[in-house]
Amino acid sequence: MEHPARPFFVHGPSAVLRAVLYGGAALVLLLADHHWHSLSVLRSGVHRVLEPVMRVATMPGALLSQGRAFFVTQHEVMQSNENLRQQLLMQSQQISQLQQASVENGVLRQLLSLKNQQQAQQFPSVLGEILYSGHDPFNQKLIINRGRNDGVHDGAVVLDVGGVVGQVTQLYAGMSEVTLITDKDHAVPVEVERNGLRAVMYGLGQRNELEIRHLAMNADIQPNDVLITSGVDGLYPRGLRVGLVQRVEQSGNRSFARVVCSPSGSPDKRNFLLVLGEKVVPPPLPVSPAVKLKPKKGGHRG
Amino acid sequence: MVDVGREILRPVRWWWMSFTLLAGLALNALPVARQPLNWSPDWFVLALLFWGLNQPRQVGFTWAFAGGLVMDVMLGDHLGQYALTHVLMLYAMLHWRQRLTMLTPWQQAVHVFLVLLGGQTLLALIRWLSVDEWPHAGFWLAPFTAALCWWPLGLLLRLPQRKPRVTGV
Repeated sequence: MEHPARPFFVHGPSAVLRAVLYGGAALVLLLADHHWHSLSVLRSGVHRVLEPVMRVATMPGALLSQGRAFFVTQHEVMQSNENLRQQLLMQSQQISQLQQASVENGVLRQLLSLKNQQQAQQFPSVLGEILYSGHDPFNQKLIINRGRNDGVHDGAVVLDVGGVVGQVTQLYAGMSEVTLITDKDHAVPVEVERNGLRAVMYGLGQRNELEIRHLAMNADIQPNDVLITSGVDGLYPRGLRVGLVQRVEQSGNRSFARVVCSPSGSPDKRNFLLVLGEKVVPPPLPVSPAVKLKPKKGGHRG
Repeated sequence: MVDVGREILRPVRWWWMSFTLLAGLALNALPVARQPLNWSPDWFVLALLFWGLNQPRQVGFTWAFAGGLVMDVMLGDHLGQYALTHVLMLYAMLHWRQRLTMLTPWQQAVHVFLVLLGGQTLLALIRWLSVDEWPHAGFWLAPFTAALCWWPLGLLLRLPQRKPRVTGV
């Protein structure tokens, strides 16, 4: 193409100029968003306009599932009722055991004159439902139907029945965006339940794999070890189940062991998530004269 | 093969174009994409390129930019990446416009495939520059499926223009 396409009617600026103008604007947005993360106001504004539209767009699916729920037979209802009753029985037993254990735990903690973190463990939490996941195959994100108005705060921890799923990274009025722990380079401080070995687990950008990095070759970690949050970052409360060690590769050509884990939460399969409501307030840092410590934050990327 | 391009058509209505573009955006927001191997085409871009090619005076860069911005917000990634790729893809389409209007739909689809592949590469590059991550194989399948959809989608979008006029004005 030697000659550029000449417009038939010359009205307004030419195609090249318009492309450059709009492309430039998009590029400026891109750079501003990437470097300063300063566009959440704009994002929120567009989102507010968009929210009803997106609700309408996801409505057919919701209606379909509602319709399906309407047409279940009585037999099924009775059966599920029976199952639920059994579950309730089993769970109430478990709860009573748990209550007993927590009372015992409280007494022990007081005996050890540790800081009473009971308040921090009883979080007022919000139950949310997954609206949709990102269309973008790159990032591991979900949108849930609870937002600022429901008491969700930025950075809140999100759980499902299995364990930790992720963290709220973008807050809107009635929705929030959850970055999963499997998102690329999202970090969670964990410990091995068996022996208390602390480590940091990173997402790899894949649904079912996570990795523990910077663990010494001879570290005591084995396949099928349960990983729980260690709570050292002051963001995730201690003791939440995060994942399971799948395999440990200790090859000689590396200085660290490669530990591959699987997440215990499975947001792909479940629709309801629990958002922990209250921020864990870490005790104040010890005042050290020379070194300035920064509290580590999960999921922060430069 | 029915040569759609050289048929005499009724003028297109602006609300039909807006409706198809918005429907494309809504389709993109559907939670179909839970599967890891997401190869569903970008419906909004297909509609945008189609109208940009056939009605360049009504559908242009404003739609490309605004729709891109909406997708950026919906999909929750860097603001501006879809806006940029949409604008550039539309520009490539307009640059080839005189040649493309002379071609059959399947020949057009090859060009569309190239344009979409370019856009997809740009998206991947933006991602790579910001987070140092390269997408998996399924990501590169989307332009193929989109190009396959080009001809049927064109027939569908032209449907209201092809109906014979019932009431004489």
